[in-house]
Amino acid sequence: MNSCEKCNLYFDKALYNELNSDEEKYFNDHLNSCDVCAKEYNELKSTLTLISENHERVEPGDIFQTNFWNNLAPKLEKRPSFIDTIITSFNEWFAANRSLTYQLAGGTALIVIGIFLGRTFFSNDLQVNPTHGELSQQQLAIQASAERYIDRSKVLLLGMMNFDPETDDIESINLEQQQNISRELLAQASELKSDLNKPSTQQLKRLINDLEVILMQIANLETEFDLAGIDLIQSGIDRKGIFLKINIQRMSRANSNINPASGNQVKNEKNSI
Amino acid sequence: MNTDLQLVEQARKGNLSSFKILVEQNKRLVYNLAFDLTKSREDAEDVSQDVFVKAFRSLDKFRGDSKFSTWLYRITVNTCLSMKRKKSYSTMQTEEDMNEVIAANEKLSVKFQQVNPERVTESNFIKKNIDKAMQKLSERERTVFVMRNFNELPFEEIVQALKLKAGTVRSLNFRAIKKLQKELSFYNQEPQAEGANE
Repeated sequence: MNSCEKCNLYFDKALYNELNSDEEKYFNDHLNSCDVCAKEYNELKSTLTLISENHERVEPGDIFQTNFWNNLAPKLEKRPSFIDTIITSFNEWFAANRSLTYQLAGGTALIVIGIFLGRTFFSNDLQVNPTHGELSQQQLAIQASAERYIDRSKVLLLGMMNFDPETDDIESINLEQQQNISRELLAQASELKSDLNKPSTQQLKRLINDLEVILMQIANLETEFDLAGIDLIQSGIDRKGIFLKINIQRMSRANSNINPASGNQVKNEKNSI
Repeated sequence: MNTDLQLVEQARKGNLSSFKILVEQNKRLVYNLAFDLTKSREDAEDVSQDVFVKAFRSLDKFRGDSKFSTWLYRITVNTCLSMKRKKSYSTMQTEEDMNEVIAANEKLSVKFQQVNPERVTESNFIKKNIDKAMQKLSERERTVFVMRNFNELPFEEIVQALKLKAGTVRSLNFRAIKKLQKELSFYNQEPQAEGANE
C-alpha cells in the first residue's frame, strides 16, 4: 500500500475528526506533501460543509406540538384480530349486498352438489389402469417428491411471512440458512418440473413455478438490511396466494387419497415415501 | 427518575402515561429523521404517528440492548422506506415531483425570503441541487448519510439502529459523500476558476 492509498483510508475518519494523534500526524504530513490527496480531501470536506450549511428542516405543524398524544392515543387501543376484521368486513358487505349474497350462496350450493354427484357416479374414471401400473407408480413417486418439495418450501415461506422487518431483528430469521435452503430447493425445482409432464400434474407444476420465483427472490436477498427485498417477498407470497394454492393442492391430494377407487395409489405412495 | 427501560416495562403492562412520557421525549427525534428521509412535513408527521403506534404494539420485542430512541430510529427508517415504496417514491419520483416538493417547502419559508431575497434565491438553487444529488444515492446510502450528517448520530448508534456491520455503515456513508461530491463538483470548482482568472 503506497502512502496515498493509506492516506485515502483515513479520509473517512478525518472528516469526522476521529483520527488518533499518530494517524492525524501521518495524515497532515501527507496532505502537506501531496497536492492530489489534499485536493481530493478538501473537496470532500467542502461538499460536506456545503450540504450541512444548506440543510434545512421544515418545523412540524402546531398540531404536532400540541395534539400529538391526543391523536396518537386512540390508535393505541387493542388491534382487532385478523378474524375479527374479516367478520366485521363480511357483516358490512352482507348488510350492503344481501340479495347478491343469497344468489352467491345458492350458486355455490349448486356447484357443491354437482361436484358431489360427479364424484359419486363417475368416480370409476379415476381408477388406475392396471396395465399402466408401473407408469403410475413412477408418477406417484414424482408427485410424492413434489409434495415434499412443497412442504419444505412452505416451512421456509412461513418463516419469511412471520418476520416483521420493521421491528424484528434481521438475525432472527437466519437469512443465510434460509438462502441456502432456497438455493437447494431451486436446484430441485427444474428437475421436478421436467418430470411433471402429465396433464394431471399441471396444477402442481404451476405451484412449483410460483414457488420458484419466490425462492429465487430469497436466494438473491442481500444478507443484511435488504428490508425492501423482504417486503417484496412477503407481498409476493401474499399476492400470488401461495399458501392458499398449497392448501388447495393438499386438499386435492387428500381427496384423491380417500377416494376408494384409488386405494392402490395411496398404498403405492406410502411405499414410495 | 424512570429510565427508558422502566418506562417501557410499565408501558408493556398497559400504563399509557409511561408510554406518553416516551412519546414526548422522542417525538421530535423521530420527526426530524422522518423529515430528512421523506422531505415532506406531512409525511414526516404521519410517519411519526405510525412509528409510535408500531413501537407500542411491538414493545415486547424491545429487549433493552440499545437505547429506546435507537430502536425508534430503526422503526422510523423502515416506516419511511415502506411509505416510499407504497408511493413508489424512489422509482417514480420525477424532476417535476421533486420540484413540487421543493416548492411546497419554499412556501413555508416565505417570511425568510422577504428578509433577504437575493441570498434566499441562491440558497434555494443550491438546496435544489443538493436534493437532486441526494436522490441519486441508493436508499441505504441516503439513510446512513442522513442519520450521520443531518441527525448527527454516532456511527455506533447507526450500526445498532440498522443492524449493520460497523464497516458497512462507514463505507456506505463515505460512498455517499463521494457520490455527492461528484454530483456537486460544480460548487468546488467555481472558486478555483475565479482564482485562475484573477
